[in-house]
Amino acid sequence: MFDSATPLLSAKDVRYRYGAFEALRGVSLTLERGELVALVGRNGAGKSTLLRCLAGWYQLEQGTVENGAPRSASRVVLVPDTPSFYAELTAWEHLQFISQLHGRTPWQDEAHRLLATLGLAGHEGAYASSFSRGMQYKLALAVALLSRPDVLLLDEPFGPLDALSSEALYKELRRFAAEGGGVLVSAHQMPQAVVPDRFLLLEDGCFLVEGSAEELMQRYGLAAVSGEDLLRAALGEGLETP
Amino acid sequence: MRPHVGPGRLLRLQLRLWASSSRQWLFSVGLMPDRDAAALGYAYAFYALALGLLWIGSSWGALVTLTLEVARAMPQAVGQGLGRSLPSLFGLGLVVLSVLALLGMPLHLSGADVAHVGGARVSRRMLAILRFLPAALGAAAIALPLGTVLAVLSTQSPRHYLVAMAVLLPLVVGAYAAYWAIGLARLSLGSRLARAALWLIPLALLATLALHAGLALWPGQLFAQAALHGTVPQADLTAWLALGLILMLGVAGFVDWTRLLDRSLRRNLLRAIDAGRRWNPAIAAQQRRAAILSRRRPYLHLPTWQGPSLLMARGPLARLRYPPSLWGLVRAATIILGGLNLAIFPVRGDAWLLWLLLVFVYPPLALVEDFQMDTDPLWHQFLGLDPLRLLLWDALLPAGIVVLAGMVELLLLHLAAGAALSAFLLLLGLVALAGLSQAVGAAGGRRARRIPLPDLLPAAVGYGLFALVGVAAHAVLLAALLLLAYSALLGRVLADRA
Repeated sequence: MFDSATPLLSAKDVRYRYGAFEALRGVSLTLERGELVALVGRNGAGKSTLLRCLAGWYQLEQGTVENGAPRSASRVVLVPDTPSFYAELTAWEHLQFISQLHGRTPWQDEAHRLLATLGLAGHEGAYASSFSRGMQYKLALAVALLSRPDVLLLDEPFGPLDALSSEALYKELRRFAAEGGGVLVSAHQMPQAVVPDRFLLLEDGCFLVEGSAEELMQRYGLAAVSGEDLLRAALGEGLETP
Repeated sequence: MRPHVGPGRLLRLQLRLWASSSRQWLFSVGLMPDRDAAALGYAYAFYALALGLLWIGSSWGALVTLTLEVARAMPQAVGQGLGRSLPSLFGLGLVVLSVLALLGMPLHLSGADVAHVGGARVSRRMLAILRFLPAALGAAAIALPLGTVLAVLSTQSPRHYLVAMAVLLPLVVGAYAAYWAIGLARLSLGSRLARAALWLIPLALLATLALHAGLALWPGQLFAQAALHGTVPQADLTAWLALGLILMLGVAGFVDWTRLLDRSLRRNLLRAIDAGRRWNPAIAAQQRRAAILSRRRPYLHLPTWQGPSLLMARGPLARLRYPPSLWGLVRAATIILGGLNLAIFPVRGDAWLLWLLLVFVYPPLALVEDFQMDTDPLWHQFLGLDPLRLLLWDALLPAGIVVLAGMVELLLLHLAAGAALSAFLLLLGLVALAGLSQAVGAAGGRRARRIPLPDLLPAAVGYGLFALVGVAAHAVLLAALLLLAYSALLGRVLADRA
């Protein structure tokens, strides 16, 4: 059992560089149980690098990442923006493979529910490699959710999804958080339906702004906060609306 | 008024193009460290480059020796007949070149060229000569070994092959200039009919050859004289080279710039698609596999096994659903058993060179195919197994099949008990080396400030050990023990990458 006071994920002074380019310059953050946090920033700000460092995909140059318990498989799961799949396995077999590998039973009902929620019902028997980019992202997310992680890190999940799918995904993420998980979502464009608990604005490898939607609305005098508004207000550069 | 691009700027562009493509080639073969390489990375690059040069030198010697042996085994009449055919063979080469010139496009502009000089006034002749020279050297690199083989075979002695090579170089450059001239003519002629008329060139060459006379036989005769008698007809060579270059430069001045730009843009688009296939055949194969599978209904099922044993079921299911992937396993077995046979039987010292080339051009990837997919970070995070255990589960079945095939061969050979045991241990060592050396490279991942150890290094050291001890020194048992010990070390490295 975890102590509810301990953050699900905590990173301190995370630094990472690609050759001479410093992509992350001492980033610290915490992710609490039940939280859905949006990581916003421009292209190249370091969002994907930060997620990969948090997931342990990249070895940190400096800093620490702790996930509230001794590390074990699937505690922190990252779904990258372009997931790849086993070419010869169907969508259903991907879910089956991961579930049975960990000896999880029963898994079928939960798998059916996830596929239906994410709009993949009826495509279970198709090869995952033949899916469109949006469908592939949904399947990767279904596998990630089925693996029952504590922390879900999603890299640009809304990019390949239509508005309805984005809404369904947001509901599913809220459900996951309500069950005690933590979600960190990176995005440079956030659909209107998505209202995170907290925003983290990353610019040039370090956090520029951090706060809840209400705090940021007050601070910048905004009627509502989206990733774009926040970027524009915080950077004060008059970024053009895409 | 369009800006003028002078010879100096063209030369700088050309140098940058060479540097960029050289870096790309060197990087793709593991000889170029990446941008964040440490000193050790560069030291390795020089070491690998020196090894590569040594390999080229010894391969050249092996080529001459092998050709000489083949030549001496041939009846004398065959060699003499070949010597008489040299002029015609060269003439046929010219016909082929002229056809290629009409099908292809020798002069083209890269995307960067179009951006830099597309809208400028450029000396077409200067551009042509700058692009021609490296292309002609590339053609010579292919033609010289071929010419050496022909010279040695036709004289059945290595007497004049160096002279033949010296004569062949200007001959090839001249012929290549003629090839360029035809290609440039296609870019110069405005009328479609005139361009179609260029097809008369190969036909005329063919007709001249058939009549056994004329210009078509002249350059070949120069080569034949050098190969057979060691004579260097300097005046003729100069004339041939000058004729080719003057022809090319003459036509280059009339190249239609708009047509050149148009064709170059189209070519660059097609090359960009093709480049993926050339530079990353694994990704291209993956795309092809996905495209074929998407048209088929899945058959068979993933079993309901629980735990890591399921990894052993996924591999065979994948291969049964996509049978062409079995070919990789056959290839891996052939290469590994080929190495085993090199060590068991006292073979010619040069044969291991060919085997080493094969093992690097066609590495036995089938053993680690599933492992490579499982070490994709997305899936690795779900699997929860360290790389060594993952490799054991993933490679057990394909490695077992290769070992089984080797055991069948050893049984059929009826070796003495001691020799059979040594050979069996060597088989295990080779299989372990093939799997672990590839796996260490595949599981490298991205590490901050990690010295970028090229993926080829573990395999290069392992196969080098095998070639030195197992083949050259013919110490089968010692080679087996060394390979097993080295594989254990690689296993340790892999386990440390958890």
